[in-house]
Amino acid sequence: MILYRAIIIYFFMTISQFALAQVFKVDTIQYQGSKDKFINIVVMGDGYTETEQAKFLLNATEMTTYLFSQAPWSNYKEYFNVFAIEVISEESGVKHPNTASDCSSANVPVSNPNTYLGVTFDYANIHRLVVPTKNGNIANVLASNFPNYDQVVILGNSPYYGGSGGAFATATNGPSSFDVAVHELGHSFAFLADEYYAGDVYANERTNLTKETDPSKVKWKNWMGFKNIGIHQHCCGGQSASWYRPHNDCKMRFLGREFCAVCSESTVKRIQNLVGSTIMDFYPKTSQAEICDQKTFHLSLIKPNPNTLKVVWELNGTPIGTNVDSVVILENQLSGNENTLKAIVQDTTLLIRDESHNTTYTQTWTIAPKSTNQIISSGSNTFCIGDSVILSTTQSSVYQWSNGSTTQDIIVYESGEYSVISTDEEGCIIGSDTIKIAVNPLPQVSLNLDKDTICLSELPIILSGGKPEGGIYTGENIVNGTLSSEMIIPGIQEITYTFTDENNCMASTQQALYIDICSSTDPTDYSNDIKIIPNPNSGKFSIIIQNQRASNAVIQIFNHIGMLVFEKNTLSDEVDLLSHPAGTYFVKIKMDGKIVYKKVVVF
Amino acid sequence: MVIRIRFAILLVIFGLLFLFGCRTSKGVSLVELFESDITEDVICFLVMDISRTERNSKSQLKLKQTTQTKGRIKPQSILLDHPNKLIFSILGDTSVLSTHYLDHPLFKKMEHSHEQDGLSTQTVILTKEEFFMRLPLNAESKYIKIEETINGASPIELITLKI
Repeated sequence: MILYRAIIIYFFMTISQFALAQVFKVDTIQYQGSKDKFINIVVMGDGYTETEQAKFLLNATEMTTYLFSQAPWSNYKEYFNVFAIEVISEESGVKHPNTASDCSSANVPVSNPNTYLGVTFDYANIHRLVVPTKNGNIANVLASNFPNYDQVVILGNSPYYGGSGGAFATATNGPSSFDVAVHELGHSFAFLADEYYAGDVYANERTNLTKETDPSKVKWKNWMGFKNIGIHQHCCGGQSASWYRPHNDCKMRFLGREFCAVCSESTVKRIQNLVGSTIMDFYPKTSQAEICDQKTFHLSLIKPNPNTLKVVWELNGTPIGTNVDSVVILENQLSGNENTLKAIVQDTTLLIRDESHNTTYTQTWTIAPKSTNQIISSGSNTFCIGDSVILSTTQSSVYQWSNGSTTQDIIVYESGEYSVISTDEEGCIIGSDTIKIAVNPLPQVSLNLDKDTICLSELPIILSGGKPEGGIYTGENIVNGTLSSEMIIPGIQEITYTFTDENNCMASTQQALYIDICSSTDPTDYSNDIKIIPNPNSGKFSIIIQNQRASNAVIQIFNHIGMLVFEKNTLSDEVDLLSHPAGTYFVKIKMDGKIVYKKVVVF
Repeated sequence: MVIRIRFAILLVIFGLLFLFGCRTSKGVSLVELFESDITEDVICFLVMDISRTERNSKSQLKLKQTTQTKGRIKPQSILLDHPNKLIFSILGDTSVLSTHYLDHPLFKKMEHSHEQDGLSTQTVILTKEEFFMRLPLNAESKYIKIEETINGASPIELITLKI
């Protein structure tokens, strides 16, 4: 039994997880700009079934139209986005349990539809008090569909008059109900007090509620005498006589009226505080700008209706334009390389008289005449033939180099004077300074060694014959200009001569030197005891060493360019070079710590 | 043997219940709101039940759901001068980061039209109600302290939630 209960509990809790993330379609009724910048009103419907969503959108649009027909909301309509969440209810309509004591006068039929947000008449025993009751569902819908809302309005799908305030403005369909919502937005959006006496518990100092009776001190002193603004005593009951309102016929007192000047001011201040700067965007995007010939500076503004924004453009403190969104600055208007352009935007609305409330925003640019193009070298501008340098210029749209190139970067191999003319995206044509590139020739180098062939026994020798003098000789077994006998292999040796001139330009040349074994005249030389038989041969031969133990010798055979082609530690077997081409080979025999070379010819 | 098997099955089921259920049905004794730390700006929705009896000196809160979504909200909070309210203080490690107010859900100010253009306000006193609160949290937010004020009295702490 416990097991079954646990399973059932688990099942329902799992279902509730899915119910949490209820995503509905979100429609845009009015879009002015970024949700982060503009004020977002979200309208949710209740008691609208899936097939009634078109009706919901119509009702939401009507409510929006009504709201923005009411001043001061109408003046600042452009500051709001309005979205509608298509909340789908199982059944149509608004609950009416018919339990309120005043139900009989309204003549509204009894109903109990299953709706998503649980909007109902008769809340707290008052028929017209229409309230959503499923706060958890409201939270889930908002969290899943529009968490960054600024104001929420809930529309109940009923043609009968009703509504309420509180956390959300709630209304049924129709202009009379919509007016309840507008009044409630006065509370929840602009933090206004009621201008009828709501009761002692709600009597606190507010923008439009005070105990102050001195006209010079009352918080709406700026409005005294304007369209019946005064210090009007509340009535009746409780401590009402000690509280005062600014007007006797404001929407915060009666439905169907206009907002009084004091309430309008509060609403506008709240709108302006939420939106912040009226400068939505500006061009150029950066605060630094350069001008070539002329440049347009532009503001995108969020404008009230009627437009009460005053725009003053100042260049270096001098006004150059008023109430225009753009100005054109000519290069000849600039003074030196550092100029300041300011666009000062102030909302001069007559709906605000509070001088401490900021309505002025400024966009500032630092501007200078367009500088000439810079050319940047990747290295030295003087180099030797064969080297190069990359010249780069400031980014632009079109490039025309003096050598005909049309790219931002060019690779330079030749001497000359280089410059570039570029055209930017605004058609501004800018030149550059000239940059000089010097390409030096390489030195003429020759090498004429004294001999083409030398005997091994002549080594070491100091190399000479390189011109111009002062260069260096390089190659195998060459150290400090001397060809050493150590480790050298008979055959062809490449000698390289390199010379670097006063411009640091360098050139080299090579010459082949043939190093031969030659016959030895040294009586202690072992070479006379070593015989290669037969020699010349077809690729197979034997090495005979007289008076020596063959096992002590190490045999290496190199071809004419010094490449090792054969190696062995004993002389006991025949040497096989059949797989190698015909030619002269050098046999290196190392024994008793001495090295002997013999030449063998393979045909 | 059969009892042991049933016991093992029950253990597994209750383990699953804990894993899947704790996020949506937390009692006030549970202090951990989220399974992982918040590292960026989020919008948090707390859905709670609040109840009160004449015998209680303070209201009882039960956390039902938490939802967080990435994003920011514009400054909403002002000092609410209603005598009955809930105060949500978002605490960092050493200081109060922000404070947010909500009309007390058990002392509802309900406004309605009573004739063609007239309006009335009535305070509806409830013993139990579901409500939600939306709060902006960020990486510095560590705790949410919830207090209530009744009839303008000094705030009484109801619960502190660990983020």
